[in-house]
Amino acid sequence: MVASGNLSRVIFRLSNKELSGEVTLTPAVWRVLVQFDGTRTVAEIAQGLKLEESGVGQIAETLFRSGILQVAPGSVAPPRPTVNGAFIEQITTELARAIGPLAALTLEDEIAALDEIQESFPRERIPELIERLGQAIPDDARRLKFQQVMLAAIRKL
Amino acid sequence: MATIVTQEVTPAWSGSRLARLKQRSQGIFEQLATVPGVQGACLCDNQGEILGMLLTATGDRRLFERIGLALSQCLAALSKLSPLTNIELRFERKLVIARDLGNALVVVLCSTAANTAVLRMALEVAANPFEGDADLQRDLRQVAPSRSSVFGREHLDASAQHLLLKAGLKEP
Repeated sequence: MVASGNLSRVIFRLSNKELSGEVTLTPAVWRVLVQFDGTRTVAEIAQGLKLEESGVGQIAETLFRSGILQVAPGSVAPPRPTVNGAFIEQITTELARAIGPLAALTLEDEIAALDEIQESFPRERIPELIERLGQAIPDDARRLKFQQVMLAAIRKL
Repeated sequence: MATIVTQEVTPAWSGSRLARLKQRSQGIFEQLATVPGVQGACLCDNQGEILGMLLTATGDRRLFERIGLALSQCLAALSKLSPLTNIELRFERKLVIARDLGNALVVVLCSTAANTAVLRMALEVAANPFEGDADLQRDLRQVAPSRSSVFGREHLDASAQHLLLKAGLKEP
């Protein structure tokens, strides 16, 4: 449901932010993690470790999303993960259950109001979009149902 | 690892009344425990007394007693001025969100990394069975009828007392 961008040119370093929970790392992930020193790109680290760039990129993304890594100063920004058409379709379907045929138009309007486009809607803004769509549902019970279903879907992203 | 602490047997809470409260508060805490960034929560009655808690490594009962009472007093004061459902307080490293549940209040403590949209939706979904349980709401009203008496409790300094008197929210 989520399309990741290419992180090969991004430089990461260990995050200095507080983590919200426990973290367990495999030896393979640890081996990659200790390379993120804030000076080398993901591609360079993959080359140095003689690993596939895509594999190192996936590890970097997981560590970045969990807050263990942060983007180093001066690095290119990582491309934002986006949701695919299937997820947008799911939102439309659930919204239609709540407000009928205006769902697609309402979704389009709310995405535009967030200054984004449907084809590359960022994953991180999905909760914000869902919350705004919920406010467009006048019936309390239907709004609650929509939020319930979409909350479960967000957790699977 | 989060621990859910529910209300113990007291003269006010026992039998089926207590079972109902435990079931509903468990439901709220289980929902909140799944939201990334949540570091604990408490449920308070109209007088700011703790009815249950979700504890993690971050907080303890004493902390939530203080937070619960402070937010109960905030809600009681502000809702006299206009209808209010949610209070959100953002500090440098923490976020506190409180939601009115009719005759109770749930207060959630989070890291600033928590997604507030997800948290608000989770609260909305979690709160609905609690708010909609007419028997439970009746029980809560019987145990703690009104929010007005929450101002009489300790924890308010002289400035806060003065402001409440000035705003007409507290009797001299």
